[in-house]
Amino acid sequence: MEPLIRVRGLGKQFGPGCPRCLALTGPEADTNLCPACGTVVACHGIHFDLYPGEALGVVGESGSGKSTLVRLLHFEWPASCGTMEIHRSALAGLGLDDAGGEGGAYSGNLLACNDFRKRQLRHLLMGIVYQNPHLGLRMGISAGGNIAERLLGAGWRNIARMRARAAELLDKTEVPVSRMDEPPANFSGGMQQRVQIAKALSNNPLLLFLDEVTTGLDLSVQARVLDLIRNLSHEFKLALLVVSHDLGVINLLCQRTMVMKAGRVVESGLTDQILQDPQHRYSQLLVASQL
Amino acid sequence: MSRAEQTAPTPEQNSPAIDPGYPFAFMDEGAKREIRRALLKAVAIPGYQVPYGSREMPIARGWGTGGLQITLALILPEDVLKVIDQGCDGSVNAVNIKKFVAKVAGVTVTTDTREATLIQTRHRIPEERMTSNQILVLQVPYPEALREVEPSENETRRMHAEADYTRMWLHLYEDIVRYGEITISYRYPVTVAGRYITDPSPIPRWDVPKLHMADTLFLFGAGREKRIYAIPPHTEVIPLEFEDHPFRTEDFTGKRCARCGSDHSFLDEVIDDHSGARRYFCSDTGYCDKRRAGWNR
Repeated sequence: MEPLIRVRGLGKQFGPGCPRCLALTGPEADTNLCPACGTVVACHGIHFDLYPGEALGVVGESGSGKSTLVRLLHFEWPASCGTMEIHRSALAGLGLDDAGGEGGAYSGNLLACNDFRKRQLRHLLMGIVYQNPHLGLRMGISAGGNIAERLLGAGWRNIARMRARAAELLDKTEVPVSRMDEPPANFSGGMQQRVQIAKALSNNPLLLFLDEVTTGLDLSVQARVLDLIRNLSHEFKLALLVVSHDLGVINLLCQRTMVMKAGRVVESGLTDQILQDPQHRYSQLLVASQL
Repeated sequence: MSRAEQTAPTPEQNSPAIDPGYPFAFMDEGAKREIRRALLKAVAIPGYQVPYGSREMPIARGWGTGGLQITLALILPEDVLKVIDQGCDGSVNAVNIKKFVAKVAGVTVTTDTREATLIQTRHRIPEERMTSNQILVLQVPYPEALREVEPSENETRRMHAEADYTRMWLHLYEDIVRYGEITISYRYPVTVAGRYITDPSPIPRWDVPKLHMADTLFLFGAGREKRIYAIPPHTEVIPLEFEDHPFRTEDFTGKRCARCGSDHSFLDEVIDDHSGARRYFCSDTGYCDKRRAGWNR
């Protein structure tokens, strides 16, 4: 089996940048702020493959570049360097066949596409669930409308079919369908999170980004949301990129894991291996500090 | 002389009616040239809002200066001008604009749609089908169709550039969910030539289909907002609609104009102050007058 997406040398810097930025930041320097020019090297040299149906975890402390990574891959911020390629089989039948590249099994660098094409790719291939439901949902618009937004972006123009789809997804995510026409502002945090998941799944994505989905939810709700994600990812054959600082979440969802520190990946491998036998000093600290 | 070859007439060509205190058609030639250039660009990119330097006019911004500037930039001495305000030839604003243009350009004025070569209008398109020899200039208060859903001009420009119209569609979806149908009564957004979502100015829904594949050139001027845009002849103009909630126009079934008896024109409802009775009249007064005078009976 070939990877769904290949990410190579991905990086993002905020600031003017200087020749010494990369040498002066990173896990050894224990900072991502360049002391010479003040540039923040939010992440650098990220390199991974993600296979269809697989869940890849990204762990690290706050400020380690986890969320930046997701925002780059979801095309919310332009990357400073690096490439992201997708397997052509994922583009087949979507009218996106001209995504660049020189033939072969993979598309060109998606990060270099224009904004119009990026939005198309996002609407047709990707879903995202943020830590804060306010980022992923329009709070003043009905829950059904929030789900319809993705469908409208993907070209749906039939109200009855969109509502049927929204009801189906809300049912799957255990949100009462009778509350479909209420704005998510009226919902509890756990329910908002589940509406966000329904929205992310509406366009049948191949790739789902989860950015700290359970942080801020109480424990019983956390467990149900995680359970839901696990079942849905199995049902829809989703490739997941799970960002979390909680090793429990990673342990539950992910087969493989990357550990990030000061914008770099310091260790990657099988989740069990990293949790049982961490190699890098920071991974050891992370595992040891887990209760 | 065709419109494209228009130059300022020399004084001896000037019709004696023209006020000698002003250049022909009031505006200086540089201003006219800029507006014509913006018009050409607007015609070349149907539905795209072209920014232009809106000039001071002797009427206040928001009272039709956008339309007036287009009219003045296009008018020729041999043109026949009609000005309407919500279908009415006789309202104060229409009469004033008509008098002003007649004074500075010396043109003949009319209330007959068929006779006019250039029509400036606010909020209506005439009932009689216009021809390829005519131009309709529409006054526009809010040129940005997306303003309802996005307050930032930067953001709406980006949305137009990327054809990112999801939020407009979402707005209509919410409308249908809440009220069972799209509740926009005028300024109904349309897709022009399959590309830009465009504000057709505050014309009623009734007039929207007249923009589709018309023989006439439609020019839109927003003086206060400093935008010009156009719908050229034979251009596809499709109102936003869903497969299961198609666009529909106002329904006047069973109602007739109390003055001319028309059962096929856009009607204004008038409530009698004393008896409280409802009566309907053609909104297009020029058309109504013509019918009463025996035309098309």
